[in-house]
Amino acid sequence: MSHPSTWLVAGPSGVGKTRWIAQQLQQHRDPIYVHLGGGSFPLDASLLVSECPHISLLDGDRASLDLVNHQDAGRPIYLEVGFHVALNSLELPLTAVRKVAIVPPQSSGSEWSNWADETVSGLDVPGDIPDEIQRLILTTEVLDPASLHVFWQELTLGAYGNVQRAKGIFNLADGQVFSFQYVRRGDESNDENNPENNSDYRPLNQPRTLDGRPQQFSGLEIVGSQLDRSAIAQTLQDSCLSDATLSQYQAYLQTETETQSPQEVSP
Amino acid sequence: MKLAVLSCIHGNLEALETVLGDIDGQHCDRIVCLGDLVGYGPYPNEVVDRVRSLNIPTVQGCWDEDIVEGLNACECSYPSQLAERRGLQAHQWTNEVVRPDVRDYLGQLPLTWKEGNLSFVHGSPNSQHEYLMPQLDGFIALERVLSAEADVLFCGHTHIPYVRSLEDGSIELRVSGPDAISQPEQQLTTSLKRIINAGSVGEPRHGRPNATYVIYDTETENADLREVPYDYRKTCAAIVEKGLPKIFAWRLSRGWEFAERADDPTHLCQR
Repeated sequence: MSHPSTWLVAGPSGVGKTRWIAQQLQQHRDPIYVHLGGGSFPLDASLLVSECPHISLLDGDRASLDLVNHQDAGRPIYLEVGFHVALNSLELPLTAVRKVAIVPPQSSGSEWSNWADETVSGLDVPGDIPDEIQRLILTTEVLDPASLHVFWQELTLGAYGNVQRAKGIFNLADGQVFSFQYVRRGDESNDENNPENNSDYRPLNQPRTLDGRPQQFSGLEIVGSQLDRSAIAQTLQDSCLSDATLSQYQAYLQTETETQSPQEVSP
Repeated sequence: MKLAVLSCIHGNLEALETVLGDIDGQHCDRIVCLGDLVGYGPYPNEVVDRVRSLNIPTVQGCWDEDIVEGLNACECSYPSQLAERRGLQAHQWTNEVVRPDVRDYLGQLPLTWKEGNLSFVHGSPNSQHEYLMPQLDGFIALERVLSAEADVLFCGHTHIPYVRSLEDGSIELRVSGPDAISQPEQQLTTSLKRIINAGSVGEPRHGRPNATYVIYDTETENADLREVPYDYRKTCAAIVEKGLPKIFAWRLSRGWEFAERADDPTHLCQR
């Protein structure tokens, strides 16, 4: 095999591993993505599928045999390693794996750099390894956008603990699905008083849900320390729409859509 | 005469005591309070006791009314579902701890206080719940001052202090009836009018935890917007100690109010 067909991608939290993989996936016709350490919380996978609908997903915990078969078949495989996974614990039944470390600029000599065959410069995130990951599944929940804005501002400014990285997929009242991402920077571009400078919000390429509760995955992952999980969960719960309120919204949205001319209706 | 005008204390006794000390130091002759003595903060009874002990003329704020009449705000008070839930928590807590005599006192407060050409309200002459945002349409702002029959209208409620001058105000009115016959045009020209917002003593929203109030000199007509640091950590500790939501303490420490408020200057209160 003259070119590697399998890439193992590692690096610190928030450095841009998933972003780099998304860029690489555009070059392939039928790539496979596996998140090692993601457990049963497919947030990164859902984000990637939204950008690259042509990828196939494998469950990281049960992928070994399938991976061997796919590698033998010559399909390109990208394995993302969670920052919390010990690199020396990785025992994969694969050959010709290219190890890629995404690391902050000017961070030579890190564990990731020493492990990798290739080093790519990513975002300038803090060098310390956060000691806590909180994951909340929000599938079928729909959030009031104004409340979500307040919650995100509070979260990224530290109201619920020291947050280094936060990313979420949220269903909004207008039927759209949005990704919210925050990374605390390690350089001068970090603005603690204006976390929106370090946040990225974008709609995902998914059909709007205008009838009933959305069934696709949504959730929030927070990486940091001293995180107040119960307060986070309570605030999110207070921001979620009740069945009655959601029905009212959707009835309004359906009426609005019906009164638009065909040219005005978004695809 | 130097007149100190304070508003929106919201059960924050530490902030009130510091402001009263500052008023003493500024040698003010009188104090007027624009209401919202209670709500969100940990010392509603103590704040009312202090204001009563000083015989400070006080108008009724929206929270003062809600504690007496029950929560009945329109959407301008709660621009998000989260703010509404938090407001409800604060209302329930305050409702449980307020003494009967305090409730009676809040219930009998007037909606407006007048001294000569000065008028004092909590939100607007229209309602304690209506926000007179600094960016409010000039026509509506002028109408509100004129309806108070004042040259200077003092208000609070927004928690952000400001002085707005409405110079050479002119209102033109033409009414077209259903028979399409144009009625004579009416014109009203007014002299300089001002809206002075006193900000908030106990729940600032200007991005710093400092208390704000205003000193107005009736002779020079100068308005001095005062910003006074106080030991907000004491209030934050009391919020947690008394079982109010911890997020109130965090928001207070950043000068963000306990729950966020309306920012839409085009919204007019529907109450």
